[in-house]
Amino acid sequence: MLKMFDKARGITKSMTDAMSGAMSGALSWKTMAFLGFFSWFMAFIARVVAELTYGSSNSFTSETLSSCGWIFLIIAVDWWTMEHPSDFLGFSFGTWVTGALVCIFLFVELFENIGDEFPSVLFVAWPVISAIIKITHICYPASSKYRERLNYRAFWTVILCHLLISCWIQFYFSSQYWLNNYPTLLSEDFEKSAFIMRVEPVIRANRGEQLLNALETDIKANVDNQPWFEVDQVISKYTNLSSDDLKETIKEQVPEISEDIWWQLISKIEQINPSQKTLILQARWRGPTLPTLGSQLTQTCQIVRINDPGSLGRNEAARNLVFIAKIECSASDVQTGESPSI
Amino acid sequence: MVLPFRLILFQSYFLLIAVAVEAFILYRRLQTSRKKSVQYAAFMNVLAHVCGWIVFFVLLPLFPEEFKAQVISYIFYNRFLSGLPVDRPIIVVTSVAVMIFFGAYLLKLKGLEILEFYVEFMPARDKNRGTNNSEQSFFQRLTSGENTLNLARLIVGAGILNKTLDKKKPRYDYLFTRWQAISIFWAHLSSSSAILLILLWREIALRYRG
Repeated sequence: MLKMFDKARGITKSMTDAMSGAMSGALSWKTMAFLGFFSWFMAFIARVVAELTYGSSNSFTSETLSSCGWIFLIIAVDWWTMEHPSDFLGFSFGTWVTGALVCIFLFVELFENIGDEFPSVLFVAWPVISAIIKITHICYPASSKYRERLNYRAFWTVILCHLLISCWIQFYFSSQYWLNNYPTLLSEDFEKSAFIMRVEPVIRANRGEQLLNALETDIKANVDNQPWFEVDQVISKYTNLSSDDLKETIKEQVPEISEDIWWQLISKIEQINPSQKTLILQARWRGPTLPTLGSQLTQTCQIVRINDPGSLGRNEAARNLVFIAKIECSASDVQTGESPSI
Repeated sequence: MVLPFRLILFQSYFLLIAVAVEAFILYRRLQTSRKKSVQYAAFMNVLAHVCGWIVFFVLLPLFPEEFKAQVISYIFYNRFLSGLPVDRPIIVVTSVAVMIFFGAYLLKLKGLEILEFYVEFMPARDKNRGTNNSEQSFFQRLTSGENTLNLARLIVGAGILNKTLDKKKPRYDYLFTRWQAISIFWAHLSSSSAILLILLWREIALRYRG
């Protein structure tokens, strides 16, 4: 019993020692790290309490506390790296570590929705934030010695180099965006490019084919197995639409990209005989001429009149009344050369 | 997956060449130390490159789709597209290049002046300059009204207010003289020509390789 009491006293004593060491005398990065972990510990407790009382795991208190924990930890890391500097060509390792922590805190913890919407912002902001941290280091009142031996011309050049790295990262994300938005335009190899290199082969679907397939699926869903007398009306709804309206109807299947303004969609209907129609769907390339690109894609669909299999049991007169439509489409074929004007 | 490795290599290479050429010319014409001229050249060129990127990222989304396609085609294929309203972009490219040349020169000149303006306020130089400013803290000097006004006048090119009569020698040695500005122009012209020659050589090499 006495032994346990002694032990407990020992623990409290060491804890108060640590606290007083951290709080009073020497204010150092250890204080900040201690505060950070303490905030996280309190946030954990707040979370447990919230879960036990309300049954919800995130509360305002625990989130605020964990944010404070992040801020204290960032200050601690910054402080530690200032006391233990390691430089390479003017880039200090410490500011990059702190910058990464700040970026994760800002775009993963604090402004989660920005980070989710623009995943690139985390990486583009990293060098910029590192540069800002590097600038703040000269403003610390304690770092007058650092200021004295600093060469400001070299310093600002290094800061600008941080921004240049940020621009390169932004260019990487821009090129990914262009690849996704101009798939047909960028379907050749990039051997001669002075900017980018392909590290793994990319196989991209032809955009025109994608548009035609989406249009075909949409028409099929509206025509297949529908009563024959309604088919004309449904089809004319499509053939009367302009190219932009056709793209609008398939927007849900294939989201619009920048390149679509160069694709012209056309749908035409041809009556072959009373029981058969041919639907022609075309995607025409109206953009810049490319040697490897065909100028238009055509897809033909046969719509035929058949008896409704469900009405087989009835008499012949009734069966003739319920014809339904069947639609079948060929694979799209590419025509090269100059596309005819309309 | 594509990575901008070539861009990073080319840009670093061009920066190195420009810094080497400009530092040599500044060293010869301005009679500064070798180290200082390299620092000047490095600062000017990195500043110009960063500002160029920022202008590119800001302006490109505002351009019409045809123009954007030409830019993207140049970036990915190293050639321009035909069959667009901006069919022969050589005039556009030339005028943009001339604008970039003079814009970059102005940027380098002003950037270097502003840099020198700030270097004036750093504590390391207080010791040499006497006691006039050293009692004030770094922040006070950085944000004092006179300095802000002077910085504003510097940016618009109006020169520095100098009412102190007790000094025969100009107090501000960061303002460029005509000779210094011409030297910087000369350096900028030489480095731009060097880069242009390399680009031309690359183009010819690509043409002959097939």
